[in-house]
Amino acid sequence: MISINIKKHTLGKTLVLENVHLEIQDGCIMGLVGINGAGKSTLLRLMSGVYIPDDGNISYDGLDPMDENTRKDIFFLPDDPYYTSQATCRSIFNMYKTFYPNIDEEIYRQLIGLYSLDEKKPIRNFSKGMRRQLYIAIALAVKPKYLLLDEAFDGLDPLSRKKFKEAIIDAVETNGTTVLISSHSLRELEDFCDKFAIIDNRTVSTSGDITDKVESLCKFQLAFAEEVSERVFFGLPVVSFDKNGKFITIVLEGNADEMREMLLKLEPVVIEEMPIDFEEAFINEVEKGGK
Amino acid sequence: MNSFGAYFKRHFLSTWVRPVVFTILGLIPILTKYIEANNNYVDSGATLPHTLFDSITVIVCIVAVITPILEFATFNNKRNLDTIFSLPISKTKVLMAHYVTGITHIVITITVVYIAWLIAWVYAPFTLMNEAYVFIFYPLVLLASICVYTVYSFVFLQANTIIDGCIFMYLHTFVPMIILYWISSNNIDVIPYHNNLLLKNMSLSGSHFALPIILNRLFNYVSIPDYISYVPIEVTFRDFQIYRYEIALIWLFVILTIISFILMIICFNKKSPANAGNISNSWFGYKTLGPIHSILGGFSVKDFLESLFSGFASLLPLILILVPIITFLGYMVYRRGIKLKWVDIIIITMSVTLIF
Repeated sequence: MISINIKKHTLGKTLVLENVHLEIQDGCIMGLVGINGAGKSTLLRLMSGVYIPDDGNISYDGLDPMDENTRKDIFFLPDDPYYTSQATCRSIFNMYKTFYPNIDEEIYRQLIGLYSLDEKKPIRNFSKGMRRQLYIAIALAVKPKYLLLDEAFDGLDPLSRKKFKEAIIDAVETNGTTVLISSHSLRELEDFCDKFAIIDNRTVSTSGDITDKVESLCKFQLAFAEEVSERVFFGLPVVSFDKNGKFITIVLEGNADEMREMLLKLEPVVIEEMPIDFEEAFINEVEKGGK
Repeated sequence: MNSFGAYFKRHFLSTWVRPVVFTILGLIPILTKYIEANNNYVDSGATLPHTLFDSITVIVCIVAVITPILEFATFNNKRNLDTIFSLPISKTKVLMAHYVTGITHIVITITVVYIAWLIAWVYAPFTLMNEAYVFIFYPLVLLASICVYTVYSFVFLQANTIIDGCIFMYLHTFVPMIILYWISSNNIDVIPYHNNLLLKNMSLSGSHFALPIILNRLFNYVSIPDYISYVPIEVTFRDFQIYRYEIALIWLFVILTIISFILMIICFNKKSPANAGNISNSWFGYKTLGPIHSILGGFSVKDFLESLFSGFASLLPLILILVPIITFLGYMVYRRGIKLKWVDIIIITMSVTLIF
């Protein structure tokens, strides 16, 4: 289990994270989401030992990630990984093999083949997505106990994203890897993450099960005979309200059936339940936090 | 193999070209002189011993000063640090792997050049030499190079960019000289029973390159350019006098080296990738170098020039105007623009006031 208790962390004179308390159970895939500059990358760097918290601590099964032995079980893939101008897939693999001697070359070769990467070509000639594919192959070949991925989907095409998600799920099921992945692509995260944490206002504003979060909200589209104002919905747990003449789109927090019963009392001409996804839940959460 | 050994081996093998290039540069003067000596240029053979010092001086300057830049420039790149610091290896081991690689390059270069020179000395005609000093010279040169390398490694690592690191190295070179000269000129009683002449002599001989300078003097006892009479002059250890200020300089230099090594490890463990590429705010950088160079340095330059050029007093104001201008430019480099802080303005003003 990863236990995060950060009271304060600054970058320069800027307070980036404050009162961040989060526990991540083993074997889960957690999506770390937040707006630009929320502190996702900073949190991942704190967890991987790259940064030292100004005040607070992080532990992996009670062990400090600043200890190099603890980091043998952790693999951090930053958004822009290091490589030299002459580096090839093989040289990068060899570099990581130096520090992770148990890296599985067979898995690496399988994934390189799956992504059709030329092992001998300098990676400076690779596209952004191809470089990302290489590092994902290495990350999965390491078979770490904890895998931290920063902007993992960045640069990947839809097919590569599908393969990547399948490989992650396989790693979790086979090796019991705990995965923490930050991304702006919430639709991708919703597909295969079971947990989430939203970073907003320098702290973890919400965390939990993605399915529970999405199911805690319901979205309806209503049409009225006359134009109505938002005051009509006073007393209902409104998360977001959008009006277009006589048409209202509303997101409510609560059970869908119960909310439908309450809305029917307002005598709409048409009422239709709309699907709601994690991205909408995130936007509503962040906008709520901003008020 | 443990993580340090594995990282060191990998890094050393990836940088093998450097000692090769340094060695070639160091061998050129020796090879040139050797060829000349064999072409019956009598003075070339007699001055062949001096060629070693030319080579060694070049090597100490190039290798010991440039090696820190080559070894530690990677730590000024945020992307590199993100990856390196997340690997299962401690920061101290990473630093030591790079540091030891640099020392290995220096040792290889100096050793190969020294052996080449010895061979040239044995086989070249007309050389005159005091063998006693020849074999002492090698370990002293190694020690001097490693000391210079250590001090400059610490200095370079205080910067967040390569350019700042080079500027820090340049400015640090003169800091001991400036401080010692200022103390001696103002008769400040820092060390009991000292005399100002001791400190003044120390300041004028520099510090970071004190050992090579002393070795140069030692080397004059190694080679005997009396090629006219071909009579070797007997020189013994008793004839070589090391002056009091040189002993003090050696001690200062060794202490600086030890302190630099310890501080290098402490400061590197606090290094954060977030600062890489940003303004270098280390207390061992612009924050102290600026005031030392502008205030104390300006005063020392003025005092020194007045002692040398008393007949050219009219030139002094012109020269001394340069001090605040250079200081201002220095702070512009530090702050990355002309928007200086009030503390910078105060230092520039103080330097002008104290000088005049």
